Amino acid sequence: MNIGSAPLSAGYQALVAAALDQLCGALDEASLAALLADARQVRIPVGGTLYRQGEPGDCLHVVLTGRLQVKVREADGSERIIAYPQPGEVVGEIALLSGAGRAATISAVRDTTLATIPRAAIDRLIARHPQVFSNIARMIIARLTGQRGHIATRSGARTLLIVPLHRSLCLDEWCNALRHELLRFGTVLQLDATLAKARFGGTPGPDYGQPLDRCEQDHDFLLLVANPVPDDWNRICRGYADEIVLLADAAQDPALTELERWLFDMPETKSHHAHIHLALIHAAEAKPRRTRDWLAARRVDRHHHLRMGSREDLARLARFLSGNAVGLVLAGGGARGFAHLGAIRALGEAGVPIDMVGGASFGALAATGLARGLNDAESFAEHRLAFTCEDPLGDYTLPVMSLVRGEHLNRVLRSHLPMDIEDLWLPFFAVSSDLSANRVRVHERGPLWQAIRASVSLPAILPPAIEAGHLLVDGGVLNNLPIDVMRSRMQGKIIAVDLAVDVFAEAAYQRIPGTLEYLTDQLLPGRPRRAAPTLTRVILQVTTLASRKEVQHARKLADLYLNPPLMDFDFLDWRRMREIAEAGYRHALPRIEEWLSRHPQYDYRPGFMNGWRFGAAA
Amino acid sequence: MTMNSSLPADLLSESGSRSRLSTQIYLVRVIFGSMTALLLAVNDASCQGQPGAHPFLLLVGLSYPHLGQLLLGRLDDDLRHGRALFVLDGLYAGAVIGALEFSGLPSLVILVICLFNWMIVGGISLIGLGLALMLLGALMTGNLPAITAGVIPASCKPVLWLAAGLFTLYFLIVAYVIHMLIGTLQRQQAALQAYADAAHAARGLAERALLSAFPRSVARQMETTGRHTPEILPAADLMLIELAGFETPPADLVPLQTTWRACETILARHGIELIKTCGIRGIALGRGDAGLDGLIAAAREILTYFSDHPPQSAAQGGNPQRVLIHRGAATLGLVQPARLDLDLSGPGLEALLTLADRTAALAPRGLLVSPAAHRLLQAPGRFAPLPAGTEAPACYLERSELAA
Repeated sequence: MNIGSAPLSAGYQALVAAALDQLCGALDEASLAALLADARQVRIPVGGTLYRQGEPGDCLHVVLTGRLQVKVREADGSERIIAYPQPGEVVGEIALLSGAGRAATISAVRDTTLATIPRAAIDRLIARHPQVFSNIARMIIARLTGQRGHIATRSGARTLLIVPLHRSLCLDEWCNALRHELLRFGTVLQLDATLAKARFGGTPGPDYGQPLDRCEQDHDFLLLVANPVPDDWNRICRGYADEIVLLADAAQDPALTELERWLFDMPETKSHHAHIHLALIHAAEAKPRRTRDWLAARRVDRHHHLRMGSREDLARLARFLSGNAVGLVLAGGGARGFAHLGAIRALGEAGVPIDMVGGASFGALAATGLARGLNDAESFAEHRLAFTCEDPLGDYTLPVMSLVRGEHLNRVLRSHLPMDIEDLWLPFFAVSSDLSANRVRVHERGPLWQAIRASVSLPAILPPAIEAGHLLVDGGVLNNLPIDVMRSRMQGKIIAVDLAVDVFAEAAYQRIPGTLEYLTDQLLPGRPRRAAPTLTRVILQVTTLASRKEVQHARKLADLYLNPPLMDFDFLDWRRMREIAEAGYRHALPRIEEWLSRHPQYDYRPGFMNGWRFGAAA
Repeated sequence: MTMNSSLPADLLSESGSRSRLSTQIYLVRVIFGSMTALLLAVNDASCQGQPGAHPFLLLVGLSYPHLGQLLLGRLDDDLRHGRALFVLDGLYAGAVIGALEFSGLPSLVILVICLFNWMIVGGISLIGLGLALMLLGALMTGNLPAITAGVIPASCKPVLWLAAGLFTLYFLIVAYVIHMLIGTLQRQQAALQAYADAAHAARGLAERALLSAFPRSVARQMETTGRHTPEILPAADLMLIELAGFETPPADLVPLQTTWRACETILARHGIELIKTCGIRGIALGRGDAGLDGLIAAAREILTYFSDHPPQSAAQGGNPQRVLIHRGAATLGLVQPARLDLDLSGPGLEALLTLADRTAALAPRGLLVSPAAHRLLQAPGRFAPLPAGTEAPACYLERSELAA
């Protein structure tokens, strides 16, 4: 997809010479001049492909401006991004030397300019200076063994593009505040059309490539601010953006704006998938609603709800954009799930922000409080009310399809969780097990109560939920700790709270007691109250047992894994919620503090790194 | 985390629940009055063969609960006066028992119900008072001599059945009322517990926020030991940041806050603590891994950041113009613990401040290091002495600033 081919311009010759020097070893002036004379300059628009894996290689390339992406297709068909070559780096030398096909597919993630040096020129060089061959071979081996940065996965600078959709928003304030929040994770340079003109001179166009590359290299984050109307600056910005943030006033009409139409119609946008975020700005006291209308009108990868004037919300957006979000995954485990509330309390006290929540079964239910913006005390009070006063599992029935009819639960869930998942303050997901398709179902859209109903539907105890003709049961059956689901949806740190008890109590009976013997033991004074494998207990145990192996594997994906000691609590100890929550809190707090000491950038307690000492108004 | 400053609504609606309670008590009394009147009427008609033999008592039985509610109902809100109505029950019940001529089961039913009510509402003292009034009521009927003479008529079957039925019905109703009350109490308990939890959490947060007034290292020590021992740092890496852009007093402190916040964020990322600010000057301390070169990197980033993003106006903030770095002895500690006043002192700090004053005219902007710090840098060549050409320079200025 090379567009244009011209002799190498003088401005790039020094860069190419340095790159060739590094690849081939110190070259004499004549050899270098000959190579530069043979070099051609090509440009690839963002999304374009330089070459594909397996194609014959007849030249090597030096990146002059922009950025490439190197992707390798594995034997199993999966694709893996292994590098992001930037200006001054060489690509394509392996195929050139080996004579085999290209080892990877290379595409442009920026408007990119390259110097192309044909095979014939390299062959002539090697014929005159045979040591060049060994230099290039050494370079390749070093790269393949990971000794050089080219092979290692790295994203380089993140360039963020803020696109204002409505003039009612105070764009400067939002961008300045976002810049401040990004500063926690690295150096930031904010540029709008005016600042860029003052800095780079000229008018927006191809000449902006080199200075923008330099800005990217010199800073961890480049924050580009688009103009409210389609223009050349916006086109340049689009070519450089890794993440696009559509900043929208939630009170406005959710239909596509003219700027969005222009942006989405650009061939670059169609061919290259930068992550698109929709940031909906709400009035301070408003609650998100009808978000699905906004999402139906446009294709976005993630949406965010931001309250006017809320630094917490803006900090969350900054963490998502910078790849530093914090995800919390909560496992299922019946009444033991109250330990989640203790862990959430500990996270709050330690000042660790939570940007995304998800879970299975009771874990999903516990996560709803956070996602709705409740604090730990409010969440605990709601759970207490729901489980002690409203008796959600109290409608026992003839055990033909299940032990409980589930109508009480439906009523309780409907009354407490009437909103859509899209309208939650935090991104949220719940997992259930799809019996019809034999796979994990991830719920991240639609009515929240239905997602929770599916996720907590313990087989045999509650009737399965039905969605689009599929039977859905408890998420814990197939994936009781969905860390992998979280990992596939966000970049950053994952905190997982598991409720598994690794050492199971030995059977209290030498044989399974008869019903009468068991009841006698339970009811008569002076008899030992031994735990027996009752129907409910066995079902609950089996439900999570099936996914234990997956959980053991998934827990390695967590950055902080918490597993409170809950041996003394039963799956059905609903009345001991306070004790269970306390156990979760006691276990979590010291571990979180220890983790924070290694990751201080996640300490959002007042006063640390956020200027609380200088007043809350800042 | 936020906590409502007021009590939960469930608890605040105490007056509402009291009025609901008095209504329920009123209904129970109406049922009791009607029930006893019915017993008497049936007894008169079926057992005595004299229908309507006690018209006055029947009238009282049907009307006194309403009259009592009308005249004294409001007093129910006050428990002491609320008991007065229950005592009146005793007077009426005694009169009915007397009218029933103390016939076995019906009298016993009325007695048990009254005893139950009194015990629930007022305990033993109310039982004593109630029994006394019950006796008075019985005396008023003039039938007490009969019982003292041992002449107790046998109850006829209809009255026995009715008494048993009413007994059962009454306790069912009372049990239902108690069940409802327990439900209300449970909800109130849950609300109270939630309030207590929120208060506890808010207290914890307030304590932590208080600790957060200090730099992290100091806060940690205070959190674990409850106090802070002054830290003597023989070779502290000190940084002084001076802002410009506040030549005229700002209308509020927001611009200053904005500027210091950004500085602190950058410093924290480099492992450096901003210890104290005083207007346009701020003192930071590098410890641990940061080292002098870490301070240099942080200072350079601060200067670059503010050069890239200069405030558009004084109202938007200031600009760190100079950053001075020195290594010397200092002590970090609380000088006024009660006012959370943390301070740095010592010859190192004095030397830094003196350096700032002496070089104010020489180098009004840029990154400066003291000779003591310059000797320890990994790349000292990037700095040039000031004043130039002197053997004992006051400080060293980064060359890029000299070029500028």
